[in-house]
This record gives sequence, structure tokens and C-alpha cells, in this order.
Amino acid sequence: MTDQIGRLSRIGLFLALATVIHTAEALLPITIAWFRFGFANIITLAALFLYGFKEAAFITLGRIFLGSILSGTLGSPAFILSLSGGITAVAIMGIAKSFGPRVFSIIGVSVLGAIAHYAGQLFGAYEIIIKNEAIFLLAPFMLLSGAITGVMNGIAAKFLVERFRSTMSVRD
Amino acid sequence: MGLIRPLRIAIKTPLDMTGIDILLIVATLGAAIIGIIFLPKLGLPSNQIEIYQNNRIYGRYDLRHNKIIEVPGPLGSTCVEIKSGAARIISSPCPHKICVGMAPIGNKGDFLLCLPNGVLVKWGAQTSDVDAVSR
Repeated sequence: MTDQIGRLSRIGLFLALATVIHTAEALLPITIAWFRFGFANIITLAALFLYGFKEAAFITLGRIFLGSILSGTLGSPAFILSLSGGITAVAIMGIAKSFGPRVFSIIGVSVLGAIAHYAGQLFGAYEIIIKNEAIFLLAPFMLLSGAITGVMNGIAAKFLVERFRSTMSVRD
Repeated sequence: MGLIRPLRIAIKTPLDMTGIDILLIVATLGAAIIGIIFLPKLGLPSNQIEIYQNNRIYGRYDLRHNKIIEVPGPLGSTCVEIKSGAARIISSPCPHKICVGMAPIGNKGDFLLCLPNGVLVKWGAQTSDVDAVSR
């Protein structure tokens, strides 16, 4: 019973953290329109490795909806891009993780997630908003940024997971 | 020193990357660099014009290929010429030839119009004006 409550409150804490990071990142002054650090993905990754796919998907969808309400973009094209990227990323990360720790470590899963997020956004933008093949010229730049931010976030998520495991009795 | 302990744990934690991780990162960086160098050379259709005849789409044409297009209308055919990245109307059966006098188009938002013959030439196919930054 207490296990259940502890688990629920930690997932709630993760959702709150992810929402705050998602919203705070929107405030960073970055001039490259499509570039994101994707720090909120650290929380999704930690949830995926500490709890599982369902919880990670819940936190991702929850933070996109809550974060969009907070930043006032719910229902706008920006929200659709967030959603298409987020769903693709969490799906790919879930699949990548299911191969086991010998294939992809948390850093590899993070890189795949970052690339999947950009890919999901790009196809979402193409299908719904822009409908011009020229936006695929962005793809290689997105791969580059996905690899770099993916490694950064993966390392951060790894530390978060280890710290969580070392201080609290988290049961998978 | 509440801040220092987690930092020390962080520094002491090995990264434990697998070989496939490293392969993935290297492959991604490689694909990105190759893409950045070669993709613009493939030339995706970015500069297009759309020709409308009586509000119906007549055709889409790439501005990089020189071409002369004859658009039929109620008065006869209007000739649209694409030459060195710009389009203009070179002849039209309309009475005042206002469309023939319009400046060539090659930039976003430009258009050519021959009202008597119902011909509209618009820059930029398949784009809408939605703009947003996603978070």
C-alpha cells in the first residue's frame, strides 16, 4: 500500500518537474527557431528507466498538455508539433529500451529519443502546417542537434536515475 | 554542502555506454554532416509558381526550369514565361494588356493577374502562412 502511494507521488513529482522544465525551456532566448534542448526529455527517460513505458508515456503526454496550457499554446500549431514529436519520441524510446541494456544504454535511448522527436515534429509540420518539401532540408541539422542534445540529456538522465535509486527504494 | 554530494556522485558515475550507443552517435553525426553537405545540392522544390484558371488550379511549375506555358481562357490563351527564376506574362488576348506590363515575379507573395482571361499566377506552392514556434 505504501509502495503504491510512494510510486504515485513520485510519478506525480516527475510530471510536475517535466511540466516546469517544459515551460521554463520555452523562456530560454534561443534564436534558432527549431532548436530545442529537450530538457523535459530527461524526466521522460528517468521515468522510462525507473518505472516503465506506460508511466513515461503518461508523463510525456501530461507535460505536453499541462505545459501548453501554462504557455498558452494549447491547440495551436506549436502544440501539434510538440505532440507529434513527443509521441514519436516516447514510442521510439520505449522500443529502444525493450531491446535491453546491452543494446542501448540510457544515453543511446536518449539520442534515439531526440532524433525521433525531431523526426516526429518534421513530419507533423510537413503533414499539417507547411506542406513544402523544403523543410526536409532541416533534417541533417536536426540530426546534428539531436545527437548532441541527446547525449547531454542522456548523461543527465543517467545521473538522475542513479541518484534516485541510491536515495530511495524505488521498485521497478 | 547539499550541492556538492550529488555532484561528486555524478562525477564518479561511469557512463556505461554500449558499443551500439557509440555506433549510433557516430552514425548520426556522420549522416548529419553528409546531409548538410549534400542535401542542398539535390535541390528540393522550394521555388514554385501556381497557375490558376478561373480559381481552379491549372498547374504547378518549378521556377528553376525555363519554360513557356500556354493557359487557355475564355478569350484565348495567355502565355506565361518562366525564365531565370522569375515568371511573367509575355502575351495575352485581353484588351488592355495590363498583365503583360506587370513586373516579373520571383519572391514570396508575388502574383500576376489577367482578370479578363481569368488567369492568376502565384508564387510559392503548397505553403500556408501559419507560423509558430513549438516548445
